[in-house]
Amino acid sequence: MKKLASLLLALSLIFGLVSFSYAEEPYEVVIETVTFGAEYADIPAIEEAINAITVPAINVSVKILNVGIPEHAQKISMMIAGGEKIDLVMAGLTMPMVNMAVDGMLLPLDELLASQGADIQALLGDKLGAGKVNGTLYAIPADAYPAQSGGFIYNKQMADELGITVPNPVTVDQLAEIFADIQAQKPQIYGTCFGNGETSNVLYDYNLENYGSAMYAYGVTLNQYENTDIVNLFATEQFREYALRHKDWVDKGYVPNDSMTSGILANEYIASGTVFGMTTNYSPLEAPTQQANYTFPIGMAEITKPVNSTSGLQERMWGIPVTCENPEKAMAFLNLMFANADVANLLSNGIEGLNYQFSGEGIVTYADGVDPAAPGYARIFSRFGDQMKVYQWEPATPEIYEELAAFNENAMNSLTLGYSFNSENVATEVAAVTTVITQYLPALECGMVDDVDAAIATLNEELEKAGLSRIIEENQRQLNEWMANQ
Amino acid sequence: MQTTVNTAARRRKVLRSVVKYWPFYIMALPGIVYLIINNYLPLAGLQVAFKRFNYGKGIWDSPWNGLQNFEFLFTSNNAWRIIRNTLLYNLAFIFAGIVVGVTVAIFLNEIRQKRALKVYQTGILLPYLMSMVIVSYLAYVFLSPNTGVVNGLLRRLGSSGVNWYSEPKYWPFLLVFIQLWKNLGFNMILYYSSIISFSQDYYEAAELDGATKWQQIRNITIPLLKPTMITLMILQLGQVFRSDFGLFYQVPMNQGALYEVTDTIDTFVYRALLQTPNIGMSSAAGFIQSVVGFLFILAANGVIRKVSPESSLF
Repeated sequence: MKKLASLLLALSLIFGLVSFSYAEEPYEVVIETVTFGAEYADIPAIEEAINAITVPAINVSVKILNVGIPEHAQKISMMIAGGEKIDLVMAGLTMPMVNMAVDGMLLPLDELLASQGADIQALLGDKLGAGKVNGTLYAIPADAYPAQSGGFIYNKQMADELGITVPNPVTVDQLAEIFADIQAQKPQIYGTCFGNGETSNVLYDYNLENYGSAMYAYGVTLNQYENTDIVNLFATEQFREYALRHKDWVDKGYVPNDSMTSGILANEYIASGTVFGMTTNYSPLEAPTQQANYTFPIGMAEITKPVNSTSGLQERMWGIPVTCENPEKAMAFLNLMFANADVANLLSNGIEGLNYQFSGEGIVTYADGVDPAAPGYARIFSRFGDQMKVYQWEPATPEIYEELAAFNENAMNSLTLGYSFNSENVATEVAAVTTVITQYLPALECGMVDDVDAAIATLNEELEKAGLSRIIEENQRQLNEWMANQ
Repeated sequence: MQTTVNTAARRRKVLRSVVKYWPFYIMALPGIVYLIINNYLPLAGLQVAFKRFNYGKGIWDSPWNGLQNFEFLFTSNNAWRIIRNTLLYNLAFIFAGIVVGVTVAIFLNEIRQKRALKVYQTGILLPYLMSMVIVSYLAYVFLSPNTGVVNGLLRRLGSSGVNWYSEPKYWPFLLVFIQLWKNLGFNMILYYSSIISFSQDYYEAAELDGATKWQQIRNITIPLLKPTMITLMILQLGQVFRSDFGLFYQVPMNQGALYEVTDTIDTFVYRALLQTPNIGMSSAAGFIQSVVGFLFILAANGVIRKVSPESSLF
């Protein structure tokens, strides 16, 4: 009897062990957060807090991979090429999503979305079209409220001291008047700065769709909410006006004339108080985000009309690399991140009490004892989850959620929303055109040419030789095809 | 019949030497394995230059696309400019490096005071250890249009100053000067270490015969240095289609106005593929650089073998 009992006990133990080992281990999803590269000590604690939600819900555990933006493109392509474990990558931020898709880095997501992504579909709807390449879905927009316009960010404290009001919305002519006013009052302060010219700000002054090429190498569509013609930006009257205006501002001394070589960025000039403001992206989320970079209060004004566009959506997208072992689980986690406010907030802001504390309804600030210069966790370039459910940081006010919703509701849809250009067939031309633009555009951008018309003529001549018209032709052909299928 | 015997004999000889010297072969093994893994296995990756690379398919299964990846280097009218700049600058660097390096090494050899020698050596070597980014800002201290040292001096002299970063004509000289200043220390050390190993007997004998310093240098030091100069030159010729990215990108602050004289293959490829990274195209550029470098080494060695066989590398 005793023997039987011990045998039974032993058997039950064995079966218990066996059945226990049969229970599925949680699948570990490695998700990246793109930052400036600083170490964050609280990541393990945040992972643990997320796992407490995700393991019971979808049997997924999470590992956060912190990648600095300077090495992001290379690190991610190397990880994918080398088969290292990464399950959710941020596409678009440093590598165009379309290129990642046609280079075979990303998995097609249509079926995964249908089986695992109900909440994503409900939240993003039509916007998912921006993740398609040749009709196949390769990436999920990371931001459900992507409407953007061009705007002007400025030193509010300086404006108040000088008795200057920047109207909102503001026109570039009004800006020129403001710069003249500043110069008259404080000759040592510049109105604005164009930086080193390596990034172009044309799209902050004019409504245009650049099809994902920041250097306008794919052609552009002006007033994309009512027009679908793709043209060479540098041959347009708008660009000529822009270049002439910048030169005029340099000649009048509104702009530091050594910004191309000084290595000082426009925002650094503003932070040091020598420059009043600069053009930048505008959305209700932008001012609170940018405020973190300045010690004085800043203000923002809109220049162009807010638009929902493919290139806006493609700035930040989630993709699943081809090397992912369990794409279902990766998609399930992505879906949960969009649906579950706690997961989104843990990834976006960290842990309440440790990293942040509430200062208003839905508004947070650093927790007591956190050094803002070296926080235990911070979200920098990535976006996690539904921004309506994610707590926003001071100086945002509780009204920000309504402002964001209204801004996106009022934004016009680009007629090309959901279309993306696949430059594969004209890769040679794109490379050649890019080198031409990087040679001539910065000087025009910074108003550092003597004869604007001659410089534009040379640029266009070189672009023609490099094959820009073939790129535009291909882009227009793909766009027409896409429109015919809508 | 004779040949078979010969081959068999040779084979036996090789086998015998392997048996005899096996500990040495074992000692060489890690180095040989390293060489194979690091230098020979990656040669298989050269095929990427002829493929439409796809991450999902990997190197071997990506489809071939002929010479399409090479087109972007040659279709643009920049092709001539980047090849000319890359070649001419490198030839100038090699030539100036030898002339100045040897001269300075000989001067150092004449310094008898130990402490002064150390100071000079360190001073000359220091720039070699600096990052190009730092060098670029050192150059900026001198060349900045508004606050630069050089323009400050020019203004004192009544001139209005030069906008250095938009005037291409000065840059060939500036780049050669900066490259020389930065790399002189390393070149010089190689020559200097050869010079101090020369036997003093030659110089003593020459002095007894009443040779002047200049005669000693011309007839003893330089001929003895020739093999070192040739070896270094051949090695540098292998790099003639590559360029120091930092020197040509950072130092001229990537100014479009200067590309005519600062754009080299490496900076061109970097700018062309900055926006849309393309592994095939960048491999194509690397492939050309390696092949041309290899041809240059063969050609240079061939010429030297004709002129002075004992100095050639192989």
